[in-house]
Amino acid sequence: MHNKAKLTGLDERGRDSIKTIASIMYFINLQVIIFDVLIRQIFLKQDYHDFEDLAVIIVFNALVFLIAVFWKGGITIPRFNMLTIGAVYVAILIIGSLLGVLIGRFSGWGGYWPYLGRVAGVSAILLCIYILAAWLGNRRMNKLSEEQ
Amino acid sequence: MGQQQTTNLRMRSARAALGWTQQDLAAAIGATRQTIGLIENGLYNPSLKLCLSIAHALNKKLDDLFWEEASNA
Repeated sequence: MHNKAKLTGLDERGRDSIKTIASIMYFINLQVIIFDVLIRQIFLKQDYHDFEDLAVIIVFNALVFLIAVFWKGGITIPRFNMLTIGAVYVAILIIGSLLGVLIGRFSGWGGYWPYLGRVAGVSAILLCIYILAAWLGNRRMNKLSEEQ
Repeated sequence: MGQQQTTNLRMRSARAALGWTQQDLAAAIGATRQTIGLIENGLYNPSLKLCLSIAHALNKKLDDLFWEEASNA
């Protein structure tokens, strides 16, 4: 009967506390980075290359976090509803379009369509990755929870 | 069914009956003294695994230490 972790010597209460604090701090940190990027982009009108590293960190975090949540069964999606997926995709496109207009990173409406194309393409790829992760995670959970 | 935090007197008296301090019980099950104190004071909700460890260490059944009637739970 040993409840302490071998490496850290923490018992379950210690581990629980650290997990909770780490989760809260993770979200606070991510929100602060996002806020920082938006300030630089909208108000300070900085060039994209000035905060490209932060943008990459945000995308990496969002991507890995959601994939990990799906894989670990944190969010169980029993069945894919194409209508819901389509609605999510359209919502992402609308938000992306509005942000594009708000930030105005393109010169004239001629530059808007290539921007929208990039938003649509990247969103579709991300959505496909999430769907794959959710499907694999759901399959994994079903296998683990099968009656022996 | 609301979570009510109540002092676990049964666990405390079972430990005292063996003449153990909180530190002794903590050492026996691989936990910290603070964790034992918090469980006894009803301020930490232990996992089933930890409950079983405590019950084994105190030579008690799980029900003897942790069972609560539905109306009190």
